[in-house]
Amino acid sequence: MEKEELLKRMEEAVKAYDEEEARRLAEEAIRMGLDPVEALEKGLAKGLREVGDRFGRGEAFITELIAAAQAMEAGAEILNREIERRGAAREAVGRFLIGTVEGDIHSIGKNIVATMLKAAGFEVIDIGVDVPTQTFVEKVREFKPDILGLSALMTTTMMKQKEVIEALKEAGLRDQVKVIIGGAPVTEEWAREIGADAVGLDAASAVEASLRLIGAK
Amino acid sequence: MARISESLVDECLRKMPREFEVYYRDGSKRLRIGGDAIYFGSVGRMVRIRDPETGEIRRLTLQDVEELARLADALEHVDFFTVGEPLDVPLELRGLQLLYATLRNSVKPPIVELFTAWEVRAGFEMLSAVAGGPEELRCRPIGIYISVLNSPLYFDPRIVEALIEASRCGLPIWAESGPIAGANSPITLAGTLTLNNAEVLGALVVSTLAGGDEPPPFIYGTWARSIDLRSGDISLGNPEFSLLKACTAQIARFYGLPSGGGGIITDSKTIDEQSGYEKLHTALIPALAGLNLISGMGLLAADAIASPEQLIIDDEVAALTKRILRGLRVDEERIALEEIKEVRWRGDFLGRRHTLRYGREEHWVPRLSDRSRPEAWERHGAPSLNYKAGEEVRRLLREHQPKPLPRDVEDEIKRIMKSYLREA
Repeated sequence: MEKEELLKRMEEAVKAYDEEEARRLAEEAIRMGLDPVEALEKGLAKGLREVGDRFGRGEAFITELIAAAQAMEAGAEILNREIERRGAAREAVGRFLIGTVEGDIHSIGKNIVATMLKAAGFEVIDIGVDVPTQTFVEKVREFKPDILGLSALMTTTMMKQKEVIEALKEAGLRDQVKVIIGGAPVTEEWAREIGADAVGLDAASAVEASLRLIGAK
Repeated sequence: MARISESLVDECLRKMPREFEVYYRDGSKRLRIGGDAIYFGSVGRMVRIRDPETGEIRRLTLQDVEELARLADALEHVDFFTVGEPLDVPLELRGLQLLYATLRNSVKPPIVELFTAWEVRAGFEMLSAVAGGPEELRCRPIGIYISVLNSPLYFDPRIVEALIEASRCGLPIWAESGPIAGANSPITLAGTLTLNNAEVLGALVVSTLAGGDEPPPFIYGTWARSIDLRSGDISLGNPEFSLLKACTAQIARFYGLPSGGGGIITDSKTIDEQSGYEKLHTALIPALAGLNLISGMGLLAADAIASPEQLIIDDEVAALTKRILRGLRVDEERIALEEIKEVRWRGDFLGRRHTLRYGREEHWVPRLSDRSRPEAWERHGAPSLNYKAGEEVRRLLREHQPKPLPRDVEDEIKRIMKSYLREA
């Protein structure tokens, strides 16, 4: 198989939500000695970007975007190992660390945002739900993300967003990472009050704001 | 992972009444919950309000909670109303303050939405103070406890502890699950109903066992909704929402339980055509299917924004829906063959005794809807519904005085809240 054909097929596999095919093609790319960064960006990620664009125009559904992201992830897992082995670097728009704050077990909104960020070209590190404040601080220190996303669904847990920002200040990390907050009860006013850099009022605006924050860096 | 046997569910169901009564705190009306009775109202702790003066969406305060409750007290077709998270009140006290503000400004039964056992205990004491004691409250409940479950199949320890406490206190229980089809529930409506059913029956068992010899009555609840496939946002104003509510009412009836859930609701962020048609179908379809408590009055953006003007409009939608539910009687007098014979051809019916007598009985007269001729409407400045609703908000807030709580009851409630705050 030619390189161009393989890249095209990787793109198609993502657009067909075919995880197994994406995995198989990723292995094929490595066997062929292809640059894994190129295979990821021009093959798998290109497929997801297209589904993402269709989603943005209201033509693709969220369910389809998520399925495409899952197919990309399946192939990317294999390619990422190769990238790491070669000591190469991924070409991402930016690195995004995301999690739901302590006391809050809601994952769906966070997962949708994470998926859309991936479609927009971010490298996303998802540290799950009910994440203690100190864990956010440690993970920021460890991964050095460009942006930290804090999700909270309840009026009772949104206080934790403030707590994380305070903890980042205490740890001397606040000026090294942009913070965006999201969740049903969260407002622009709340973001200003607690000193967040941006607010995602829905998934699309979270991505827009993140791209803006990256541009501002 | 806990499994509940079918026989235990059946045993709990056997202990549950098909109907029970809840009273206005001044005894002026009682709600018979169950059977064919349909009541409209609202419950929810949203943090935003659409300001009736400016139309701006802003943070909700305690004053808004008080005014909304006062409006609900004044409106004929609102039978329960406990709405708003007052952001200017300390976090620990917001739930109790909402309950107090509701009790102060309205005689209608509050829906108690409190999340911890401690808070429930304090809420129960407040209601007891108003009812004249815990036994009086048990015999003649003046409020309902609502338990909000998590999908899929997750019983949060805090929520369960609060539910157990409320059941021990003997408050009627309204347990609701709000699975989101496609997100935390199967995308199919049948799958979402199945999940909703398992969760609510789970809560029924918890409540019945906690209630001991005399478990409190139980309302089968649902806020089942779905994701918008295009965005992943949660949607409630859709036709599937109405279908889910209609089906839930039938399932609850199958079990012999009263039912209640979301309805008279819209995804629209403002008062417009979308809110108009969504409010109507989500009121009418569940009502026709027999959902006993329909909750969503005065809300916009699903349940994210409270709106005083929308509350006025929803009172109209509820009235119209109730009129449809009432149907019509067919008998000799109403078939009116004699009338038709007497008036004969080219006569008129307007001045007839028959018209006078049955006009009021059969024909609904709106408070707000405009039925005038175009010229007359223009002469009156071509007022929009929205404008008239705003005028009505201002008039009611100016004129309506709710029946106050006795001074000693007020003092007692304040004492309960203070002592709660000390322990919290």
